[in-house]
Amino acid sequence: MKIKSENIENIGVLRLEGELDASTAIDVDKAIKLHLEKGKKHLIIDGAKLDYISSAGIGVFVAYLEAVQENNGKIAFCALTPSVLSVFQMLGIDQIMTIVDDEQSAKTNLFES
Amino acid sequence: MMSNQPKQTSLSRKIQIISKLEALKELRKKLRLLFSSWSIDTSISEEIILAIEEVCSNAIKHGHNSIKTKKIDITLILKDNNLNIIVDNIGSMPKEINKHLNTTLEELVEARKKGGFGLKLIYSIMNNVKYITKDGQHSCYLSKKLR
Repeated sequence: MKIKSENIENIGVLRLEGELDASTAIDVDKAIKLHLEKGKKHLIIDGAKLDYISSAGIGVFVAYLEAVQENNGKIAFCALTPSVLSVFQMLGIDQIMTIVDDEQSAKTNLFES
Repeated sequence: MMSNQPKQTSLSRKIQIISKLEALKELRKKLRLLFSSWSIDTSISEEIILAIEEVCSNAIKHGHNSIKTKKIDITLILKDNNLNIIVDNIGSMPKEINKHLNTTLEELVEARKKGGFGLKLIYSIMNNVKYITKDGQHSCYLSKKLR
């Protein structure tokens, strides 16, 4: 899978492309860790090109959620594909993380928080 | 004697993967091709692929400790709109299944653990899940009613 990392003010953006499974989750883990080490308060995960996610992928985001929230930050997912959104819903992740339609909505949500 | 019963067709396939996480991508590819050839709707097949992958991923990580010389065998049988899947050579039985299934999302967030979701997905997606040990071999049986 491909991971593109960007910085927008105090937000770390990850654009994920391909399939996030147990073999690729470690790369996403490293990318998130790097953003947080740089002092980013919020994370936006752009899932427009993310075709598949397994529990290992979900686990990476959940593992960092509390650390982000302790810093008054949020993790916002945008443009999730239906199959990925379905996995989030199956596990109830949509109830504890911000999921919005597009990146602009994610930014608005985070800047308002 | 002729029977008026409709003929019951049965389709089956065996897939073997090496016990390494990198093999999961190839497994998904093979399963997608197979389910497409069996005319299983994509929305259902993608969920079943996820459940099978979770069983295999647990087997690779916990059952075989990622020892790449081990192999995992998957048998898929489609009959009368019932899909039965047997995953053999999973290495070991999952520990404390009920504890995993009953752990809340809040507890997982608080624990900051990356694991704990695989079994929840397997049991959410499939109609029946059984872990069985026979002659020292550990296997997982999954089934799903397709319609």
